[in-house]
Amino acid sequence: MNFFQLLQQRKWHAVFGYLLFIGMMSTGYYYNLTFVQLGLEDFAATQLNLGADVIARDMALLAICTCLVALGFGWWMEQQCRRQQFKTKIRISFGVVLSQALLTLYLPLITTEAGFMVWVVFSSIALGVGVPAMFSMTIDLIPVRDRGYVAAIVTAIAYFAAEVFSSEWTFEFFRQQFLWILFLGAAGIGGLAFLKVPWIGSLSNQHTLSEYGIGRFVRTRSDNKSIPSRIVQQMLILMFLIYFIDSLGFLRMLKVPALMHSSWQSPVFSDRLFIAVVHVGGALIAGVLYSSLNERHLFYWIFGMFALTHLQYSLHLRTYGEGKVTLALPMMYALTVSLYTVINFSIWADLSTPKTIGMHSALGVASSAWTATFLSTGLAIFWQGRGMTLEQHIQIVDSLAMLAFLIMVLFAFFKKQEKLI
Amino acid sequence: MKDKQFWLIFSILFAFLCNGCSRNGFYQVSFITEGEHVIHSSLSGDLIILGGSVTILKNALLDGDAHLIAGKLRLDGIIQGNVSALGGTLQVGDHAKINGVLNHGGGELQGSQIENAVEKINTGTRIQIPEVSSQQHQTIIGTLGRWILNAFLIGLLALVLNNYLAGQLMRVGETEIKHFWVSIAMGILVGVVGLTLLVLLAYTLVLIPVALLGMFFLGFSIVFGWISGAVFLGKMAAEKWGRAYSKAEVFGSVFVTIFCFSAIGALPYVGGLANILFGTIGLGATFLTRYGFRRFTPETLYDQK
Repeated sequence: MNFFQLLQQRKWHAVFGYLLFIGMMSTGYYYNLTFVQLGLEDFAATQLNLGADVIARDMALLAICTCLVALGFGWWMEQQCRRQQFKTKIRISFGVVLSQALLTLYLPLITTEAGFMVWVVFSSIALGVGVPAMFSMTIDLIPVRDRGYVAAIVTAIAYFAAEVFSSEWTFEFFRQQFLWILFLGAAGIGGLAFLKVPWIGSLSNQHTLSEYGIGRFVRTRSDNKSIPSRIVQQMLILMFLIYFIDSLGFLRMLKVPALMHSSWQSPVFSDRLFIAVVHVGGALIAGVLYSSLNERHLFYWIFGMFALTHLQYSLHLRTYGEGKVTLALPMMYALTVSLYTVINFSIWADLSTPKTIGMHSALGVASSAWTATFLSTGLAIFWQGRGMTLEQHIQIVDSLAMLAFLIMVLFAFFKKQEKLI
Repeated sequence: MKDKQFWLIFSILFAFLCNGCSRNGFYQVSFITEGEHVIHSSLSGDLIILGGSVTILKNALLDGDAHLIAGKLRLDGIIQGNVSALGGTLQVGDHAKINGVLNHGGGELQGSQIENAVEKINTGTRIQIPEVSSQQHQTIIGTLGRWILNAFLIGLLALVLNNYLAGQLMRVGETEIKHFWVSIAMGILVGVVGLTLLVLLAYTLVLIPVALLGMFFLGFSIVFGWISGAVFLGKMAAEKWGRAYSKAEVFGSVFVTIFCFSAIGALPYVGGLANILFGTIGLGATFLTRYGFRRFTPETLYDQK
């Protein structure tokens, strides 16, 4: 790892860069996993008494707006060289964190659906700007060799915290948790953005170094152009499929209390701790494998494991109905989710140059992840509305995962292998 | 590419061949997971019910065994073989006839004429589990003898493998030592996913033989990894001391390594974890190198080239 070399060489500014990136990304993802995905839904249902379809529509609005803002901002970053400067990114991040802190603070004042929609639009603007700005800091702060490991640490912290420190899935619980984190974070980033910190100057130039700037999978000159190269397009499709399969299955399982109360929402702390530890283990495995294997191999594992996980759930539903599950089922799910999250955190930077990172991360995170989540949410609600049983639903998700896995294996089978040394 | 086409066509033909076996009455099974099914006249082969419901009407015949794991079986016809009820509901009608044995291990039995329908009913609630002597009762000499025997047998296996697959053993061993963390990560992944898959296969009952074969394969991969690591370390040591790496050294290095594994495994608290660690390293390196048929080069190094 480069990190240990930097420690030995006492390059404290670079070490600080690691800590800054890990802190920002893990907190941001933790916020997204809990407050945005679970807390907002709870707020709309319990405080505003909105129906499931209305909540789904509002969450869709959040997804679409975030996606559009991220794409627009990513494109803008690519066009404006000044926007690619590290100092500018820090300032933008400060704006994003402060906005989210204020939005989180004032959420309880919302009493009508129209007000909630306005809140959602403002929040999506902050999220949409935050995605390309924060993801693009990867090339400034994290050397190519360490991206897998750093993504693993970010994923491990976010999932561990989300599982262990979220005993209640209510908006007020998450709000109390995040208010001080966001305000403290905003103060810290604000200090870096507007005060004269000597390390910031050194960090600003890191992307020009060969260890940082050019991603691991950038191999041709077309990878530095605005139009996404073939490999970027392939990754967009694969990540879209992964997010789609994951959220299509999980969103429906989320509505079954027996499944959730025996796993992710278990009142027994040791159950949640077990899942958290699996998330951490899965993230570390993914970090090591991402740094050592070809990116395609990890996708085989992810699709194969999703197929296996949903098959497990499918068999459970057929034999025991919608009853309690053993921890073996969420264990496989958590392992798979950790694997793909690590890839999502590192691959967009590894497919990019300093010029294209903004657009690629916007395309990757906003377009494939948010759009997939939005579409799968809509589809899940539509199927539920038409009376599809959970068993049938999971069976379809399982089939999709299996199909994706088989298609990938088939492609791999006929792909001309590069001769290994 | 021609090789690939051959294997693809071979796989498809093999699948057809397997399917053909069932048509010829070699083995046939019906696997019910959902919906409502009615047997009006006759059905060949075994019947496994994992969900939904199956009704065997009066005078209809099931020419095989029935296994009820979940769901419902309404029996008013004839079953030539045994019936095993592990879960769900078995409803025995007035005209039902089971020519074999009814094994009742779980689930609900309904019907007033059950005794008339079958000659023998085995209930699964009083199965005597044979008492297995605990390892703690073994004497030190007995334990040492077991470790020595284990090490000796695996040492012999190493000699055979080294005779035919020396290069492969070296490549796996090299990966274990030089790419320690990648081997562990891959080993954990293969272990967890492999075991889950095997449990799922066993769950279907019909695929228990495949699951057993898979268990053997996983176990053999772990032992292959152990042997490879030991052979590689032994060779490194022999080179350092300027000795030729003969068959005796191969046997010796594997013997000592396996004996040490057994001794470490016996340590309280950490022994079990250490054995899992050794197992995952072996498993991971074996898979990374495809049983040593290719050399593992980390992608980051490959990118740099």
